[in-house]
Amino acid sequence: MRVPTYQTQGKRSVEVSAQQMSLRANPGALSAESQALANFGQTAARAGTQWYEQSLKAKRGADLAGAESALATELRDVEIEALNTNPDDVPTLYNQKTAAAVAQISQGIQDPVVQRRFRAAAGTAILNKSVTVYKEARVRGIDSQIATYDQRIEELVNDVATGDRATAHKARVQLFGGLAPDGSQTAGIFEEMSTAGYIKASEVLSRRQGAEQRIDYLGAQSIINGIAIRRDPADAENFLVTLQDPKNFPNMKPEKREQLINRTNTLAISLTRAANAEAAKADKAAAKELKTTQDTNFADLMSSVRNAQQGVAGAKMPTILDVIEHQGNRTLRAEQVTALEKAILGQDAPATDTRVMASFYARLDQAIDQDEIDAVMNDALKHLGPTGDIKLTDYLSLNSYSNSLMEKTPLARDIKKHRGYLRTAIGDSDASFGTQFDPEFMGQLRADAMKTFDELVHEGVEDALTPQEAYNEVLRMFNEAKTQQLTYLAPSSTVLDLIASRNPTAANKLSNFSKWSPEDIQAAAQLVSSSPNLTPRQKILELETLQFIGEAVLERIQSLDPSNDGTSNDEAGSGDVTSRSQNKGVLEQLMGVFTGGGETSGERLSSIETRGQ
Amino acid sequence: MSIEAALFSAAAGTAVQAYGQIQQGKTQQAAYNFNGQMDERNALAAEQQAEQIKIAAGLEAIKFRNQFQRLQDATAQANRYNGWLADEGTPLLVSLANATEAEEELAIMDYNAQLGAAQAEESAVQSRMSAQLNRMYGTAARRAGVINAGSSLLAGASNISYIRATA
Repeated sequence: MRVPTYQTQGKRSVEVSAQQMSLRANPGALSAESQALANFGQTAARAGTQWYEQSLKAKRGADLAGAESALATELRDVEIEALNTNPDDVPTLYNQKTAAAVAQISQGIQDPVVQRRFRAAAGTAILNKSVTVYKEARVRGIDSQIATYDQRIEELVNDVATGDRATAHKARVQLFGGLAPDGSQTAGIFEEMSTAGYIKASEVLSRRQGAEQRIDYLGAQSIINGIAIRRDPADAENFLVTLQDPKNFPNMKPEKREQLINRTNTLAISLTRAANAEAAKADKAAAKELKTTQDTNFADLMSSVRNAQQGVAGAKMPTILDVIEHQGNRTLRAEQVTALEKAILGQDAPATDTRVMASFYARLDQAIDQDEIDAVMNDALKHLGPTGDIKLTDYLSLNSYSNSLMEKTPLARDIKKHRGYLRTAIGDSDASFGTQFDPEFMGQLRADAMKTFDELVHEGVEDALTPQEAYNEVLRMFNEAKTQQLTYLAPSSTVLDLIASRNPTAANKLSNFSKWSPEDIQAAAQLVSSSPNLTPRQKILELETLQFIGEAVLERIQSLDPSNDGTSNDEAGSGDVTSRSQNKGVLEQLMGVFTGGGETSGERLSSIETRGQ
Repeated sequence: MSIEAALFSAAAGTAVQAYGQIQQGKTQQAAYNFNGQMDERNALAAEQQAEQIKIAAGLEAIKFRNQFQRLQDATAQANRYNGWLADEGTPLLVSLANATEAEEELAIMDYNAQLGAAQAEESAVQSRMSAQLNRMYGTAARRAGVINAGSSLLAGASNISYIRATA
């Protein structure tokens, strides 16, 4: 029998208690927070850095721009200051001022980077600006040297033109070169300027020609000035002929020659008129003196007659022979001779009519000028004699009274007063008046104004204007002439009104005389000559003025005519002043409008002045 | 924002970045340390497994020996029942053959146990080496964090200096 045994039923486990753990820590995942923090810090740092960079750039840019602007201002100030500085001192001034400006501006910059950049930029700016400043200084320096040369040239030209022979020769050698007093060959001042680089070599010839032209011009001008000082119309006429010959002053430009010819012509006319006026004045003075002598003789003889008739002791009756002798010497007038003859012969009036005497005294009181006084006294002479009604003694009293009225008439006082007004108004008594104009021009204009005033109020002329009218008219003409720079008085307002009434649309244009045409002058002359509002004296004066305008108009037309460009000096200067070109035709027609030809304006004026005496 | 605020922002950002990088290194070191510890533990487990394999193999051998003894006993009983002498002839040969097989079986079992234990021990060594490597990683990560932080600070300072110099 089989014995039962226990057999273990349990199976031993093949597993082991120890287990491999696969759990792993991920360093990347675990450090994600730190990584994120680092990234955040990196982003913040990047943003802050960018912002810092931009802010710093902006701040530095602004600082640099401000500093550069301040430097630009300083440079501009230095540039302006350099303009008023001696060109030789400009480099030193510029260096000192710019260095000081850079130092001062740099001190105000806190950021060293900006300071460094500013210094770099400042160096460039200063260098660039220095080119302009130095160039300008150099140009001014050259200009100054050229100005010095030009001044020297002008002095030499003047010496050549107006100096004595030795001075002129010396100056000419310095100007154009030649043999110096020590025998050496000297270069002219123009070659010297060219060698020094102040002018181009090509300018030497033109400057030499300019100097030659100016020498001739100044020489001729000097002669004209001498004539103006000597006031000899014959000299002016002679020099006019000289000027018209192109062989004289051969280097003078044709337009300058024309200018001087016109000036000399005007001067000749002006001197002729002045000479005529002086002669008329002298004649008038002589006549006045003769009249005074005649009146004095008449009064003396009449007093002698009266004293003899009254039996005054020692009184001697004049003889008829004495009277005739005075008559022969023209020291008594005819009516005085007649009156004396009657007095000597005892042909006195039986009695004096007091009413007649009173009327004569009244007429003397009412007389406005000497001519009226003379007329009254001549009239009184007719009342002497046996059939008269004024006794000799009473006539002498009347004559004495008339003498006391001389130079005290209202007209004489009025003329004197307005003459004074006019002298003040045109600045004749004020040296500083009108200094902006050419002194010679102003002098001629003032002289013409005073002369015209005297002619318009000429005492004893039947068509004279009142002093007030003459003052107004002359002052207006003077101002008009001054405005248009005429060397003669402008036409009167009456003439301008006449011209304006002829063509109202062109009145404005015609107020400027330089725009007149020959037809305008012809028409104006016709209007003047036929005007009932102008006295004969005024017509003569206005026609003379129109003649001056006519010359200026013709000169302008000739200068605008291209056909005159090629005119040689011979052609341009040929003929005399009145027959030159078409001048004569127009001017003579002009004068012929009033005179019908023949007399010149001077002769006409002289005749009127003679008529006024 | 003023220029001072911008500058502060840049500096603070850089500081935060550096701090973050240091912290990142530390965190990574902690993670690597954890993994190292885990490897150490696995190494212990592998060693324990090796021991357990050895113990289990011993127990199996005992059990086999017991079973084989019972087989031998049953075989001897059968021989005796049959009247066969066990120490001669076929019964002896059978008994010897069984014993040989049993020995071979024990040898195989021992061999297998030894092999399993060796494998577990190898795994333990590998885990221990991995633990050491992770600790090295951790140290390196911490140092990298510090270096990165320094690099960031240096870069930030450099940037600001560059900007100050060139802006």
